[in-house]
Amino acid sequence: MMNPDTWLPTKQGAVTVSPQAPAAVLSDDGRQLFAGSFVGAVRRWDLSPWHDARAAEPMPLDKAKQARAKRAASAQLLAEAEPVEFGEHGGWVEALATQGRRLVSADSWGKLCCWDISSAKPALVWRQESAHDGWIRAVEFTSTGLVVSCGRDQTVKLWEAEQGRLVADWRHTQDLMAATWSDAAGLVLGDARGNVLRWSVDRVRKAAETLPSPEQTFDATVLYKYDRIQDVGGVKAIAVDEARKQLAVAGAEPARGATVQGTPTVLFFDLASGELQATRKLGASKDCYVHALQLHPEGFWMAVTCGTPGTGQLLFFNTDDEEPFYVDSKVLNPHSLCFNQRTQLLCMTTTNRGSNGNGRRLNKEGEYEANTTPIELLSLGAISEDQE
Amino acid sequence: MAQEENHGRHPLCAVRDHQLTRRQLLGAASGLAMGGLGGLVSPQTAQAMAAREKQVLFIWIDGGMSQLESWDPKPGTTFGGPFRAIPTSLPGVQISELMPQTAKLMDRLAVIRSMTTQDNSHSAGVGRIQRGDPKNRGVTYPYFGSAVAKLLGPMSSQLPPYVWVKPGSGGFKHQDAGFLGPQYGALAFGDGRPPDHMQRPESITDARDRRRQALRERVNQRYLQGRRTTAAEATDYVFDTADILMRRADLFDASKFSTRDKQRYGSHDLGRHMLVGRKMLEAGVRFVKVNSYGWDTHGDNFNAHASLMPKFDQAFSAVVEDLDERGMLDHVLVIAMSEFGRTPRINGHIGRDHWPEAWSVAMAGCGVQRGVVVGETNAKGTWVEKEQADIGHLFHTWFHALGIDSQAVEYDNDGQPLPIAHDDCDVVPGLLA
Repeated sequence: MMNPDTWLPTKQGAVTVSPQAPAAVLSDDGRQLFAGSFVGAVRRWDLSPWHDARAAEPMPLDKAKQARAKRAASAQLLAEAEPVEFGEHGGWVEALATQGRRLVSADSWGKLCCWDISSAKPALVWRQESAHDGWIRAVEFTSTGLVVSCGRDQTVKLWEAEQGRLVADWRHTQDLMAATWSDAAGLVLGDARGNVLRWSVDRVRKAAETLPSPEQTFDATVLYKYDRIQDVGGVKAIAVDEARKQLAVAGAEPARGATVQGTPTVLFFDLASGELQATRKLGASKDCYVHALQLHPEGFWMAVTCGTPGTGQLLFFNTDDEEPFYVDSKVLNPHSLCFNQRTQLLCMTTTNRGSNGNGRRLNKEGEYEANTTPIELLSLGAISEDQE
Repeated sequence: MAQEENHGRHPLCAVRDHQLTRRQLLGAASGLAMGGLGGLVSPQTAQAMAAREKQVLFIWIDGGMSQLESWDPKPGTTFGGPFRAIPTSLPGVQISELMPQTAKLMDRLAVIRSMTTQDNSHSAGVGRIQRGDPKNRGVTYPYFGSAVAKLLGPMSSQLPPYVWVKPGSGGFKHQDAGFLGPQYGALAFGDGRPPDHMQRPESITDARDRRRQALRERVNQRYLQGRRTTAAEATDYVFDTADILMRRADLFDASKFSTRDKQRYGSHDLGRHMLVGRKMLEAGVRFVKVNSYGWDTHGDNFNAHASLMPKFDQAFSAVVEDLDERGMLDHVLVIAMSEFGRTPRINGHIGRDHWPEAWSVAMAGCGVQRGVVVGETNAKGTWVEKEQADIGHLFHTWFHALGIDSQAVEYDNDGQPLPIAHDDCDVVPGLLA
């Protein structure tokens, strides 16, 4: 049983982008940070200087003053880091995934791009201009050499990861909102009505032209509500716990639409039988959706809730416990979370303070400016030996 | 003395008698629409009356539809959001990809993109907008529906001139009428259903009903003695309205709608209520308001509009096309609007907040230009750049579209003359046909 205190996060600093970024991911080696944007670009930060500075001297944990000074210097490094902007997207770039030297980015106008991220300025490997008709909600790499994309056009598509050739697709009846791949479960998708669909690794591997119908479905429709004339909720995040052979499906149990209210909820299903085994409520109605969920190798879950009208939360919890063992309710409206095992680094997109307000509020210069996205970086526990 | 006590009326002459006489003359008890008057009026009178038979369909999107996710998209900009813009049947004009059906009808619509209004709250803003935000003269102005009911009066059908098809509860919304008096309030049909207890119980026969009405009238006459006629008129109006609606129960029979119509408009509330609204217009209701609630998207704005807009698109395009096909669009003024738009700035809940600074209203039909976009916002949608207009300008425009000279016609509030639209505003010329 892991010691929760070992894994409590320590804030290292933030990089701030404007206009906002809906999501951010870390590269497999944890040395690059990538963020999407609201204006069709992808941004990259080289975190190597920061990692190197952290590793330069071991942190004496019993000397609080030295530790604080080091964190301050570390935060300064991050705050001053300049991103490289690349990408040829339109609309929002929200769906990102990394695997080795590859980054896949997708936008809300339907374009999918694959990049080589081994150099300072990522190079385009392939693109699909009209991969989907409209908003691509999720992308994933499989372990079988494919890229998966799905979105508002109710379609899931499989692409060759190296060449970008379309391998197979399948049309659903609802918007597809979330995707995950694991060697235990295969491909799992969640839709806007709370339905979850699974294809085994073998079925995905054998797919040609058309992906056959899913071989298993899970009922997460408690995450959906029809309020007045609005479809509210749906699946926001999915993840697999291979050790426990469980599927985690996250969103909110909606109370109402318009300014959506709902209790953040994670459902745990047995992968084999599809049976719902546990339901975890992670806040109050004002906390709304669980936007992102990821399993730590130690077996606990990390999640963020955005808050409407609340401020949001970062939570760590165990599947079997009713209450989380760590809650930070002072984070400001986080929407994505990405943890890198190698560096024990967690990145989280948040929002600047005072982001709300009716009417035309101007800054001191009399300008109507956009909100920003501070991408918070937190470390969990000790740095791995590889890093030193 | 008797005449003075009865405020100038003969003591044996009840107000209801005059109304019955008028209704009988027009033959409206059978709910006939214009042209079906049973030969009771001269052709010249019929023609004049037909010219007056202008109607309004007022689609109220409560909470604030985002102009950036509808009529005035700014894709690829800082505040543009995730959705694309699509071409329309109006060359050079694009609207949000969330309205593909409406895009095909843009050549029949008039859209103004340069609205700038004064109130960013729902509680005060809804009333200010629907009353035309007139100058403060110490009176409560009527909502647009009540104003039209007063200025144009009931149609030859004699159906209530101002009805409201809405989700939730119904009832008589006298507050809409302001200083005009409760008679001009909105008769609301909750979920498009008739008022409760509208059907006479079977135990009450026609003969028994006539005896009951006769007794009521005798009691009314006694009640009228020494009282203002308006009190009795208001009471009689309620009974007259109930009487007419009881004879027109078919208006509320959803089974009479064709499968094609139901599919065309949509099975969601907005679609069903829009279809009821069309039926009300066909039957001869002067002003029909159809509501949709749930548009105040401070959080999760884009997923919300991804769900809400297709339903609006379906119902709105269906009713515009349907009215046009039936030859009704020439005399029905269609308006679709909210109390304000939504902020370009996207907040931390991935929502948009209230924005009266630069937003859009769509119109079609009677008296308005077909296939026109008036006014412009800047590239980011944060300011109006051309042809800024307030709600007072739209009131002047709509009155003119309905054949009412908004500069010449005044209300008479017990001897106090009041302009029918904001003094400092005028028509938006580009919107008028």
